Amino acid sequence: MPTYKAKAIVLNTFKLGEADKIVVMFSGSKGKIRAVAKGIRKTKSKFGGTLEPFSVVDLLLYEGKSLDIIQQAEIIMSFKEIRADLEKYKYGSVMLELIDKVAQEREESYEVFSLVLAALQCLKEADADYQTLLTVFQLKLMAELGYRPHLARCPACGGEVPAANEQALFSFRFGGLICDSCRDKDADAVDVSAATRAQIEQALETPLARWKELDFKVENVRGIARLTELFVAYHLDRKLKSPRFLDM
Amino acid sequence: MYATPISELIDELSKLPGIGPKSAQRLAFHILKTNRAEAERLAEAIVHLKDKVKFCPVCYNVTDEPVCEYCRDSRRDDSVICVVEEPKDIVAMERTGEFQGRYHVLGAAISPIDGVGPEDLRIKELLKRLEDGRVVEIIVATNPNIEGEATAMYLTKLIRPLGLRITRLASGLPVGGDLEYADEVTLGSALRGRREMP
Repeated sequence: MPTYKAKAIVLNTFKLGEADKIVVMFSGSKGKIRAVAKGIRKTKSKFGGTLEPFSVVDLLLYEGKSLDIIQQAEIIMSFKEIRADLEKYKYGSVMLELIDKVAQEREESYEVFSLVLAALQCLKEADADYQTLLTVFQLKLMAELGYRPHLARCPACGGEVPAANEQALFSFRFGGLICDSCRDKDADAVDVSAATRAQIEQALETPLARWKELDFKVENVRGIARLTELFVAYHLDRKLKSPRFLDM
Repeated sequence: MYATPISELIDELSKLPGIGPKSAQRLAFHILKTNRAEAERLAEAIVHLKDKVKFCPVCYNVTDEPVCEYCRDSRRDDSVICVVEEPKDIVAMERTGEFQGRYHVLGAAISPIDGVGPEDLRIKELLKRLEDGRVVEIIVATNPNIEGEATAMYLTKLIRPLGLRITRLASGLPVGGDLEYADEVTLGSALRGRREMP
């Protein structure tokens, strides 16, 4: 059987049979990987705590017919700080679920992989304001996947959008701010305040590692968070399960 | 392919965990070969299981009595409750012979990514048991994986304000294992949880 190596983030695990688990991971070289870790649920398993969600691992895998089999796994970064903090864990879960939904198997995705890694690193070091971090991550992820919101020109007709200090309409269908004459083309477009427009722009321009410089007022983060949430939901065919637990 | 009664049984058997179509076929033909009394005993055992086994109204362990044996036993200590995820975990704890308190079965563990939240666990029922003030310690014995840890943190957040002692099972090196094969998370946790030699 052919083997291959990969560096991946563990997204989720499912019990399989008596003592095995299916481990769902995301790698730069192969996109999403679904592989079996044999005997991992036994206390003396060689895998121990290496394949828990949030862990970044070096893997050696056997290529199987439908599922690959994990031969060796070694932790590079455990991100145990995220797992040991209920708040961080909740926001981190949304990040992992989102990646699980958008990632494809056998598809090189080095940019998205670095983005997730950077986001988890920020979450690990953060001490507050996790919602802002999550929102910035979501916007950047959408941009990376080719859905960067159009903010300068109306994506429906190429016309002028309302001036930056004005409220505007955001269309999920057209993927950005639309002009007044196109408002009838999408009845589901939502109003976006001038403050939120500025925030989206800032979020897309600022590197993720410098997210703390984003001056999102707590009362304003709601607007952009809600908009981003809807934007992401529009592009996924299924609803994410984890966001409803954010206030748990 | 097979006569209807056989293929019906194969269909039902292959719904069981770990049983594929091939194993289901083997089991069905094995049952076909056994005598009638034996087949009836199997059928009866399944029906009895569904009829008689209920959740204990106190701790939510499975039982065929009105209240389970651990809740009934008057020699057990009322001041400590060991919280586990599944009834199977009670059996594992009992095998140690080191615990003499009561149990509480949550039925699941928190996992936002799988859509399992606190309201899907029997947490309200646990808090209800703490109301009479007899309990002084909660031992959280959920699995040492991410879902179990999240559940433990959530329970701590809820229960700590009540002024109870809340403890977590230690996690670390398995007895009989080799240090060099321990992963860094497990070994780190063993180091933090180290204890004075007696």
